[in-house]
Amino acid sequence: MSEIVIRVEHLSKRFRIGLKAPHHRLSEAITDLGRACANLPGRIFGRRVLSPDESNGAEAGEFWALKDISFEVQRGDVVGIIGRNGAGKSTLLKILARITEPTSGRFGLQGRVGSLLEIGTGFHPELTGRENIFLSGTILGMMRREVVRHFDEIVAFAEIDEFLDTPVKRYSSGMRVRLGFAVAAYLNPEILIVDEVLAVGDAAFQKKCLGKMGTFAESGRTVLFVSHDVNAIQSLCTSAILLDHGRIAGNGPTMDVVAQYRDAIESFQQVPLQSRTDRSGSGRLRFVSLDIVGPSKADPSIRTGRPCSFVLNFELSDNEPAEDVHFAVTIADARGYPLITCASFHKGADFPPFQKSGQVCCLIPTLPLAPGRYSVHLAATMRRQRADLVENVAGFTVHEEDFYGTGRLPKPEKRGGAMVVDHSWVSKTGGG
Amino acid sequence: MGSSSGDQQIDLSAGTFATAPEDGLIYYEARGGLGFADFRELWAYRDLFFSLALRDLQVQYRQTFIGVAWAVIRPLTLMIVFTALFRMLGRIPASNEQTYAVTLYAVLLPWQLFATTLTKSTSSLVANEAILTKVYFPRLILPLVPIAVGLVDFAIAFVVLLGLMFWYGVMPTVTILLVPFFVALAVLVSFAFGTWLSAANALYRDIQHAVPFVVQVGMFVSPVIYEMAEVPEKWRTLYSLNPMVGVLEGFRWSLLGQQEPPLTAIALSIMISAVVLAGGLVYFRRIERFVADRV
Repeated sequence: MSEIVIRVEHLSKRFRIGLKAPHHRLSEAITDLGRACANLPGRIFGRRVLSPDESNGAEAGEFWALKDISFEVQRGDVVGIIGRNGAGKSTLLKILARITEPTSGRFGLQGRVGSLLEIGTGFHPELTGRENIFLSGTILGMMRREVVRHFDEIVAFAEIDEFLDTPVKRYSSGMRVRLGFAVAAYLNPEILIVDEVLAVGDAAFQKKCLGKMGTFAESGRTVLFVSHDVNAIQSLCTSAILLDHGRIAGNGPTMDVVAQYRDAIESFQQVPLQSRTDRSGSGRLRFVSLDIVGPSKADPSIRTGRPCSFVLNFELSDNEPAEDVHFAVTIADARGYPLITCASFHKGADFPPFQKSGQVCCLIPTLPLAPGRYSVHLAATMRRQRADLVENVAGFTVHEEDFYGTGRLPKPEKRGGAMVVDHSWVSKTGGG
Repeated sequence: MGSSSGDQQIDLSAGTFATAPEDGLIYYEARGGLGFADFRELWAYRDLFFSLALRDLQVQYRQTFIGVAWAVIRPLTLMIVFTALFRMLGRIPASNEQTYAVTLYAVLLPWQLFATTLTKSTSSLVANEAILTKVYFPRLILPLVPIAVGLVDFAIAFVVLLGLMFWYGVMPTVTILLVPFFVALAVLVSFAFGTWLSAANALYRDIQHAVPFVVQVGMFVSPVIYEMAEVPEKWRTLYSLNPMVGVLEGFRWSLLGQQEPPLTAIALSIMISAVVLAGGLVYFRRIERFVADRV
């Protein structure tokens, strides 16, 4: 018998842009001081005060992260939530987990809700593994006696028994992830809300976690699961919801929604970069175009093992010279899984200050990609703060080139790896 | 608490799909208007309170050499400095020096309980941003946690106080039984302001810079290093509007039992902190709704 355990009705959430920032920069604070003083009583009391530039148009200072979302989930369903960056996935989870309130609409939940928006929520680095199990467990919603009851299982699942009394700051990142997930695995809520947390940890542990979530659903519990990993969604979820610009663009069996999402990714890349709105960051710098070019003008095709350049054009939102700017180009495979990140910060590149606009080029002398289809994400930071981030900016095809001098290459579509590297083979058996 | 169980607040005509009242779901929506604290929910989260208090206690003295002795060193140092200073200025007769020192140490304890609790409560929402934005719990727990930590420090320093009193032959009277009442009043005052300041600090970090400074100044407009009797008579009522006056004078009286109990100051302290707390809970409730987006 089907029974509804989550019912979402006309849920909307509005954010006001710029309200998150006022306390970060002293110089800005001083400029705004006069205005701030006038508005102070209203601000302190959380009332809406329109600043002059906001009041020009109601939409200037706000945007709808979610707009009129309605859906139902039945007991035992595992629902995947997919969508681009900024589509509203995390906002939806945060509302359902009651971390933040909707602006309008409402939602109904049945039973205890556990939210897992981060691995190792509440861990304190100075405390030992044992102390952190209790701390994180109670933060996630367990009573201390429940933690006591599951303590041995948690330790076994995390495989950390020798380090139980070692401060977590001395743990490897893998151990920390295992411990974090192990605590969450024994939460035992009727509804589990999970955000993109399986992206961390090694493959074997990820598999263990997915297995745990699978058995969790089989025992009649309900899971809401956000992930960029379409494969994880496909293998785990019975149905999926596709969000786009805060609205539901698709809702139904996983296969159909995932297919719709893949088509949508292709179509994002048709939209010119300049008019893309699904970006995040402060916006002080905006990418306007990207050119992907091969070895030379005469030889423009992109081929395995040959030089390849990414030419990034960008604009600045104000007339201040932009200093301490860094860029990153991430190349992802056809499924959206990141393969290579070339970051100017990692390379220690030092750019002169930019005025109004600029162009930078990232050159990869030997492109280590097997023939196939890839896509590019771009990111920029200013003074270590994210200025712009756009996913799936463009798709490109890597063509065959005789990289190994044998005319042979791995075939990603036949389970071959997507990357090629120079290497050698020798026999270590017998002979001498 | 803004959530309404299925059978209470459902308007059947409003939704496109009518919700059966017996659908067994608990509904949540934007909470408007004024609300108060939900103490039943707070109680349900008592284990979280305990865990966070334990965390702060453990972290406070981990990797320190003398550990909990820090709870005693601060009031003890202040006692020595002020006693030496006042003696130099000729404000205390040498014969009375020991009583003055012990009394000063005693009054420093509720003052420090108030000062550290208020300072930590103020920054509590910001300091716990990492969990605030990842999981739901009644946010009021956060400004409450520093009280538990402050009380543990207080208890340690109080044991030393009893030792000092015994050593210097300063004998308490039966009114010492009222000490817990004044400790509770110190906590009430600090929590009353803590609700306001922690919520406001989530929006404007200026608060957490201002509070330690204001508290430092506050020590001199409260009867810590002097007694209310030294304040000119005509100013005393105005002076007692500082809710810590009642706490400190009351604490001194209950411990040493001289003179008359400062009833006016105590009554004012209770009333003022009750009013501030009531307003603070409403304000906190209001900010709590969107604190995860703004902190």
